[in-house]
Amino acid sequence: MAVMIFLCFVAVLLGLSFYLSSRARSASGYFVADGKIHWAINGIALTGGYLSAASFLGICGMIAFRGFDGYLYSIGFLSGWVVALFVVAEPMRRLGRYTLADALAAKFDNKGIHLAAGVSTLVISLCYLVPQMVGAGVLMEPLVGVPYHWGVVSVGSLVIIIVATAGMTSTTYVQFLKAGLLIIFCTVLVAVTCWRGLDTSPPPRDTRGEIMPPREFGTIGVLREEAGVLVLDAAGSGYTHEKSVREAGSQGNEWVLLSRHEPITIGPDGSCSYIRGGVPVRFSEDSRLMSNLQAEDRSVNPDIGDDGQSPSSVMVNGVNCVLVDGVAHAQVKSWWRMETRADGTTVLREAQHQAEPKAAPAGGDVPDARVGGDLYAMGRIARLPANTPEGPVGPIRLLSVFASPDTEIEVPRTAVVEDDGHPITLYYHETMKGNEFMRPGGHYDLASDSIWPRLDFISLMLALFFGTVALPHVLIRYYTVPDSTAARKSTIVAIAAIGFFYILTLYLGLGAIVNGVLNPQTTNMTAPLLARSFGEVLFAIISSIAFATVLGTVAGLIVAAAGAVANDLADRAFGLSKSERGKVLVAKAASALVGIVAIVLGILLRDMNVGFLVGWAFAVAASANLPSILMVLFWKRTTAHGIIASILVGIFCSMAIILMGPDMFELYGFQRHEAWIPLGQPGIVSIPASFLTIVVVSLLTSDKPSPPLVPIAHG
Amino acid sequence: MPSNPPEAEYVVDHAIRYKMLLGFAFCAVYAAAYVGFVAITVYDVTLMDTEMPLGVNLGVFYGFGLILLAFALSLAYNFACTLREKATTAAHAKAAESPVSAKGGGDK
Repeated sequence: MAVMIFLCFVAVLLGLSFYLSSRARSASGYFVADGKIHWAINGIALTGGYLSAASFLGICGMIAFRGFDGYLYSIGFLSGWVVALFVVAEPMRRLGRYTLADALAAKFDNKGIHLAAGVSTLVISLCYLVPQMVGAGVLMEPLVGVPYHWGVVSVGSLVIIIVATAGMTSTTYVQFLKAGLLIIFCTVLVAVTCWRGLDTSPPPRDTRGEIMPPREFGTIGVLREEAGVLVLDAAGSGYTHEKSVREAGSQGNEWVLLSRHEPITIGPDGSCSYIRGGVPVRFSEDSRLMSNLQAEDRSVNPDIGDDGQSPSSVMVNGVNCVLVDGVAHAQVKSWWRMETRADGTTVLREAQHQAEPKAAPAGGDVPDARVGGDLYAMGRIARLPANTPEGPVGPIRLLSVFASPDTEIEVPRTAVVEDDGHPITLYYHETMKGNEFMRPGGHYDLASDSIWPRLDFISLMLALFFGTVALPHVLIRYYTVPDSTAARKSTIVAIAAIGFFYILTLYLGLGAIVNGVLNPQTTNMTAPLLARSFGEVLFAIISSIAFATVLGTVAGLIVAAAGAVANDLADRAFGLSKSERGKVLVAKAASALVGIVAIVLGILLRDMNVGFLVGWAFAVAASANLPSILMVLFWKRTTAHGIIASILVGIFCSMAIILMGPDMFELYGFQRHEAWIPLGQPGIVSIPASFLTIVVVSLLTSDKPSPPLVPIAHG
Repeated sequence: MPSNPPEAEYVVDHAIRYKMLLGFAFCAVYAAAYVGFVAITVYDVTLMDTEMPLGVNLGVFYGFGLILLAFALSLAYNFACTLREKATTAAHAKAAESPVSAKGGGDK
C-alpha cells in the first residue's frame, strides 16, 4: 500500500519533470517562458526549492529529541530570507546575475576568480548534498524496505540519470506541487495530532511504527552497596548484579548489568522464547532441535536437550540454560542506568539495546533482542500538569503544556558502553522538565558555565542568518520572474509559506513525543513515523513528499556543482574543453562524480541529524561567499585578489574548524573533548576572517579602483 | 517600462536608492530583533521560561514573533516600494509630458 502510493507519486513527479523539460527544449529556453509564471505560484515554488529534506526531516527530529534547539534552525533559516529580500536581491537583480560566479565575472574576468568561485560552489553543494542523501536513505529504509545504504545508492543513481538525460531544466511546477502538498499535508498532520491530543500512555510501537505488545521497562530502587554489589529493593528480586560500567566521557552515566533466570516457553510454531517486560522474546531457531521439541509436549519441557550434562544445566537450541524447579530457564541479561533522584535515592532504570546479529554463538548466552524491529519506539509525556486532561488539545494550549515546569517529558538518549571489549549501544529515556525542554540549550548546553556552547550557538545563528543568500541554488530561484515587483511579491509568499511551515515543524516534533513514535536510532524519521501512527496512507504521502523534496534538491545541487566544474573550473580556469560538446561532456562526468562522492559521504554520515549537517553547509556558504557578495555590491574598492583570497580563506577556515571540531571527532571514533578545536560551529570565526581578508587584500592590491557596479545602471 | 533612456535613468535611479536604503533599514530592524533573541539566550537562558500572553513561554513567543516580524516587514517593504515605484513612474510620465520640468531632460 505505502509502496504503491510512493511509487505512483514519484512516477508522477518524474513524468511531470520530464514532460516539462521536453517542452522547454522545444520552446527555446525555458527561462523566457518562466516570465509568465504568476508570482503566487512562483512564491510557492520558491518555498519548494528551499524546503529541503533538512528543513522537514531534520528540524522535526531535532525538536523531538532536543527540544527548542531544533526550532532555532527554523528561526535562522527564515531569517536568511530577510537578508535576501532586503539587501542582496535587488542589487544582484540589477546586475542581471544570479550566482556569485556570474556576478563576479560581470566585474572581473579573472581566471583565479573562476577557480575560487568554482571551488566554493563545489564545496558548498557537496556540504548541502550530503544531508539530502542521508535523508533519502533514511526514508527509503522503512518505505520500500531496502537497507539504508541501498536507499542512498538508488537515490543517487536516479538523480545522476535524471541530470545526465534531462539536464538543467526548470522544475518550477514540480517545486510548486511539492511545496503545496507538503504544506497541506503537514497542516493535516498537525490538525489530527492536536485532535488526538495529549496521552501519557501512547500505544507501544516498534521503530518502524508497527504496534507492539506493551512492554514494561522496569525501575528498581537501590538500597545500598555492599562490597561492590548493589542491594536492590523488592522490585529487583530475582535479579543478580553482574557488574557496573561507567560510560566514557566526563558526564557519562553509570550503567549496571543485571541478569535473571527467565523460564523458557515453546510457542505453537515450535520456537523458543522467554518473557521480558511482559513480552515474549524469541531466540535462536534450530530446525533439528525444533523437530525434536515438537515431538514432545510443547507447553513446558523439563527435559529439553540431551547433551548428557548435569541436570542443572541444559542446552536449548544451542543456548546454555539452567533448570530451576525442573523448568528450563535462560539467563537473560539487561542493562540498567543508575539515576539519582531529587530526593537523594538511587534507582536503576531499564534501557533497551539491540544485540549484534552474531551475539549468540552456540553455547552462548541468550541474545536480548532480535535485530531490527524489536527496539521499541520511545518518547512520551510522562506526567501532565495538574488540571490538564488527556485528549484533544488546542495548538496554543499544546505549547503551554509542553513549556510547563510541572510537565515531565521523556526523550530518547543513546549511550555506548564496553561489555567484555565489545561496544554496546544502549537507548534510554532522559526525563526532562517541560520548561527545560522548551528553552534553547537542549543541543548546545547553554546552562553550563562553559563558553564553548555559547560560542557554538552564536556561531550557528550567525551562519544561518547570512548563509541563505550565499547558497548557490537560492538566489537563482529569486529570478524566475523577470519583473522586480513580481519577484518581490513571490518572495513575500515564500516567507509566509516557509514561516508557516516552520511553525508546523514545531508541532510535528512535539506531536511525535506525545505519540511515542521516536526511533532512538535516528532523529531523521520523526515526522514520517508520526504520520505512520495515523495510518499507512498518511505515512506514504508524507514520505513520498519528503522523498520528492530530496530528489528535487539533489538534482538542483548536482547541476549547480557540475556547472561549476564545467564552466568555472574546466573552461575558464584551466582552459580545457573549448567546444560546447566538450563542456557538456565535462558537466555530465562531473555530475556523476559529484553524485558518487555524495553517495559515499551519505553512507558514512548516516547517524548525523540532517538539520545539523545543513547548518554546516550554511556556515561554509556564509564564510566563503557572503563577504564577496556583499563587498562586490556595496564596496567600490573590492579587487579580484581580495575576492579570491576571501573565498579561499572562508572555505579553508570553516572546513578546518568543522573537520577538527568535536562533532567530527566523535565520528572518527574519538571523544568529543579530544577534538583539536573545541568549537563545533565555524561561523563566528570564519565569517569575520573572510570579511577581514577581503578588506585587507583589496586595500593592498587596489591600484586602480574599478567603477562601481550599483546603483547606477548606465545604458 | 519607461521608453526614454535619459529620464528612465533618472527616475529608476531614484527608486533604487530609496529601495536600497529602505531595505537596509528594515534589515537592521529585523537584525536587532534577531540579535535580541540570541542575546537573551546567551545572557541567561532561563529567561526564556518566562510565561507570556497565551500561556506560551518567551522562547516560543519570541520565535513566532520573529517569523511574523519577517512577514510583516516584507509586506511593509513591498507596499512602500510599490508606492514609490508608482510615484516615480508617474513623475516620469509627467516629466515626459513637460520636458522643461524634468531635471537633466530637455532636448534629446
